[in-house]
Amino acid sequence: MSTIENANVTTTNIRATNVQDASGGNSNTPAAINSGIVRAWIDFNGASGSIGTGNASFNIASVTDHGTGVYTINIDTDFGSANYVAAGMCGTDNTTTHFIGTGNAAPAAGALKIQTVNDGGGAIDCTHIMVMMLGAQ
Amino acid sequence: MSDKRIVYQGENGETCVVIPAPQYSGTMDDLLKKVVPEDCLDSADIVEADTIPNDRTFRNAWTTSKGKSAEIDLSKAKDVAKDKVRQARTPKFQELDIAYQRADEDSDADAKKAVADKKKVARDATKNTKITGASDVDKLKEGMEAVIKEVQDL
Repeated sequence: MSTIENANVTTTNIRATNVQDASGGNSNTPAAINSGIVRAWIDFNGASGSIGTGNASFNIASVTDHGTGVYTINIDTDFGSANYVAAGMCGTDNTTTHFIGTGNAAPAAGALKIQTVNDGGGAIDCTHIMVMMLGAQ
Repeated sequence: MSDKRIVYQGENGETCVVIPAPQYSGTMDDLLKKVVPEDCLDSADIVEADTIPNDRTFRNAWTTSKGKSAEIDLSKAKDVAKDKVRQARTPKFQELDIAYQRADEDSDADAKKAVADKKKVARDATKNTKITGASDVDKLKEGMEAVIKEVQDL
């Protein structure tokens, strides 16, 4: 095993069995790190005409606006399959509770349809919609 | 930020608008091929962003067809307006039901009649000519908001 200390290393690829912090703790395999990376995410305003441009995003190609509270998030570099995980939250700037879920279409490798609803179950445009996706690409 | 949008009629007949993300590096043609379902390609167009309605009040009344951007269908917008009135009057009906129950328990015929009159106004709100007779979308929005306020103020 070689040890390099107090050095800035610039290279193209590092192959390692484990990655640890400076104290030798928090050891993780590259596979574990790789599986936990958020591959795509977006924070957008679903009540605005500029929905897809988002407040901020990563690896998102676009957002399709299907109607009140219904959107498809189109991923730029697709997942390897439709078997990935997504999590999100939504809301407006008031005290009413809102919920987010999958829309009326199965998730696809390159697209995730979502719907935002109010506490009565009615579709509603939320000013804050935040979704992130994890899985293998 | 792209000043273009893709508009198409979705598989359920809805009007879909695709808004590219700022970091998307492909062309709009590439994006169209990537995100528009094959069954919907015939209706898809790339349009200027400023041709898309800004106001989403009647979003589910938007229509499109080949060669056209998204437009608001007045007839469908009236249905949307009626739905919004129905949603707005639901809590008012609950409130009036309680008021009627109390008047009934007090055997107060006048109070019962007053509540019944208010319930009739709320029930007939969707038939209000401010909605059914609106000649354009702006007048419809104005009329809908007035009707909702009338119901809430009962």
